[in-house]
Amino acid sequence: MHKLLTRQLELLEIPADGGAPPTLDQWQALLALVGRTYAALDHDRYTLERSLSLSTMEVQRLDDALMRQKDKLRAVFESAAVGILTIDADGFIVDANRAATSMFGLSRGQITGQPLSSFFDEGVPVSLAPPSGPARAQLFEHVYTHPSGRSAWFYTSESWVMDSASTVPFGTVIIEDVTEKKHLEGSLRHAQKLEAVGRLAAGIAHEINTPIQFVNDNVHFLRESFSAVLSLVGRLEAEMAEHGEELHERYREAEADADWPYLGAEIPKSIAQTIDGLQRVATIVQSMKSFAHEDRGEQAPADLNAALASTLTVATHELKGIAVPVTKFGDIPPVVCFRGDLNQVFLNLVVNAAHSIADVVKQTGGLGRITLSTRRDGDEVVIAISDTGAGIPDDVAAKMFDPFFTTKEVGRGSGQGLALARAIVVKKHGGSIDFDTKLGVGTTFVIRLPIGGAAAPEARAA
Amino acid sequence: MTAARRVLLVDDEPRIVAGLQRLLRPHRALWDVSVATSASDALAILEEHAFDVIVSDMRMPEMDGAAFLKIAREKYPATMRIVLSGQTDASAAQRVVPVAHQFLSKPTDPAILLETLRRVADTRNEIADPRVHAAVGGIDALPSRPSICHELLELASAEDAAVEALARVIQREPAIVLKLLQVVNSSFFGLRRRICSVTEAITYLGTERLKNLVVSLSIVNSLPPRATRFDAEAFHRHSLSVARIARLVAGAGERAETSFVAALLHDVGKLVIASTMPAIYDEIAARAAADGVTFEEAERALGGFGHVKVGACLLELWGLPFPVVEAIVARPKAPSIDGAGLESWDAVHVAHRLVEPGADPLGSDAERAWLERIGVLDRLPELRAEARKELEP
Repeated sequence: MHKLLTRQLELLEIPADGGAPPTLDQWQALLALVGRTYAALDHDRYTLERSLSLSTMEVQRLDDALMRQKDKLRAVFESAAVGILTIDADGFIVDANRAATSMFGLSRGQITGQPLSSFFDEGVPVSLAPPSGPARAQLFEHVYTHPSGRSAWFYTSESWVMDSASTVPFGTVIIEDVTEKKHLEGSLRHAQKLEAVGRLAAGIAHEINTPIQFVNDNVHFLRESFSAVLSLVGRLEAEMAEHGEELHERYREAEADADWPYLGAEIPKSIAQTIDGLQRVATIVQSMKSFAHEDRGEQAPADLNAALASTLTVATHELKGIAVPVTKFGDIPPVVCFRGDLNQVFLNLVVNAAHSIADVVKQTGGLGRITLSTRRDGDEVVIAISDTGAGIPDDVAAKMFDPFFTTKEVGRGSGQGLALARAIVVKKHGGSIDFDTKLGVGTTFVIRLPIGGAAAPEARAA
Repeated sequence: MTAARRVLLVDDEPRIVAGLQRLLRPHRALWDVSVATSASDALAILEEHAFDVIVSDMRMPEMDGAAFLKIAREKYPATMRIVLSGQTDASAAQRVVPVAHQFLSKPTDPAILLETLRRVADTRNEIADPRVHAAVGGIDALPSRPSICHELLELASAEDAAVEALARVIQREPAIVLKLLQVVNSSFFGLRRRICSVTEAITYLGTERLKNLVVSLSIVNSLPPRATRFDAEAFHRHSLSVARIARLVAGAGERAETSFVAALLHDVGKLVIASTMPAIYDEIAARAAADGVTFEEAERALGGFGHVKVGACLLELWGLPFPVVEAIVARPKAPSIDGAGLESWDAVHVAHRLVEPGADPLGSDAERAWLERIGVLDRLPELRAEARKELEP
């Protein structure tokens, strides 16, 4: 019996276990009581049913929200600009986002299931083990080699998470590709170093010029003086030959003792060679100064034939045993430009040419040739730098002006040279740079520069 | 044989002066050399003797070259001042330009130093009168008209100042052209070629430095020529007219530029005399007016030193390209010079005669034969018409 009914029976003093039968009043009251009890039960049931249906909806709603949250997380994971990997406790990659796959240059399938350490060059610490203490992100720097052969620098930060459902931790690895940043830092450092070296060179040039001045003056004096001495000795000898038989004989002996015939022939030559050497030193110093020219933020007219000549002098050492420089300078007007920047471009091209020839020379022996030529073409000056190197294969040629693209081993080239050359020639000077190459024959770079300089706005922005 | 010229070498590095001294030794018949290793020593030596040339370093302890040469300019204007310095940047140039006549950079080719000195000796031999050397040597710049300076500054301050536009204004003012060519041909610019063209000179100098130059000119020279008979307006009109016609006569290329500049500067001697020796200028001008003869004829009659020579003396002192000086000096006697075809002095002579007022210049048989030889005779009517246009007010 329902306990509510039992209680009501008690209230009506109707014994639940027999005894005197209930009166009519008691029956009536009982029936009303039963009615109320049913009504209350009905209500209870209704409330129960309703709350049940409500909580079912709630569960559905929560479920939907959860799904949305999950999608969102996935989308965040996928669309993040940084690469994100999840790894298991043994360091095997479980998942990788799109950025990570593109950074690695591999498909997701090629990445997942592999140990993370297998992707990086050895010698770089990879933690890849859950830390025992509280989880804290750890930062590492890695060198990664792309399937294309290109090197990239990655910063990775690992953190370990304890799954609440299990006790197995998993790691997330965030990867940032800092190759470009590295290169920029490198070229900035390079530029700063170059600037400092340039200033130093100008200072040294100034210091060297003083001794060159007086050494040169003295050598010229010696040359003049020695020719006076020669004619004096000649006159004396003629006098002696004519007037003093015995004296002349003794003189001839003294002359032989002093090795005079040799001195008379060699001293002028030694002086001439000294003057030639001094001239060379002076040219090198002058070229160094001219090459290290600091552009003062304003374009200025410059003799590009002279700029190319000083670039060649500066690059002499790079060409030694590799190539013979040939210059075919035309009659060109001064070009309004940033001379220091163009010097840099010329040097890059000459050094590239030398490297290209060096690869050929290694196989064939014999010297190559680098030809620098200039000419005027209407309102432009055309500068061509040709080499007798190996030429450039098509696949390389296509990417050649891309920043950071290099075929040279690490340390020999930053992959910045040609990209920088193009930026300087095209953006800063409103000119153009192109090349023509033939495998096994060589490459010619052609630079065209407007004589009047770049239009003002670009020049200012640069 | 003339007496040896005196040169004073100043450098704080004793080996430099010793080296230069030895270098000049074979030329001892021409040069009497003194040396000093400081500016104060040099000033003491200058007290003792008159010198033709000073060759001085720039960077010296205590008193530097610029300060030293400034004193030398004031006390001994007739002495030519050459700077021989290892500093060759533009800022050094700005300090030296006002005090030195010429600039050589270390290390200098001995041949260039000797050639520079030889040209000084030549001008000294050409004009003996010390008054001329004092007058010419003391000049920083010739008077330029403020209106032209203003116009130039305004033009040069524009964002896109065109070289051609600047050149058009500058070539109206001989004083600026002269200074411009002096600076551009100095070793500060390290150019291998001598620049005779105004356009090229502006291109090399750049608008910023051109502005500085013009500003310094307008500060240095606010004084107009003091000779009362000097007609500045006529002087400028005449110079520019001769220059324009000379360019037409010369045709194109290097020769045309040289002829233009030489013609523009052919009378700077008059400007020098009018500015620094006004009494002499007035006397010659008065004589010319009274006798109805040209300035040159009056000059000869009075036995003066000759404005052509005075002008050439200034140009030589400032190291202007030799072809320009040569054209000016040779101009008066061009028809009697047996040159190879048309030379710059021929072009300037023809132009000078054509813009002279008076009937039928260049009409004599001898002159026609000369014109024929230099290939100008055929173009004479057309040139004459151009000259007449120049003479119109």
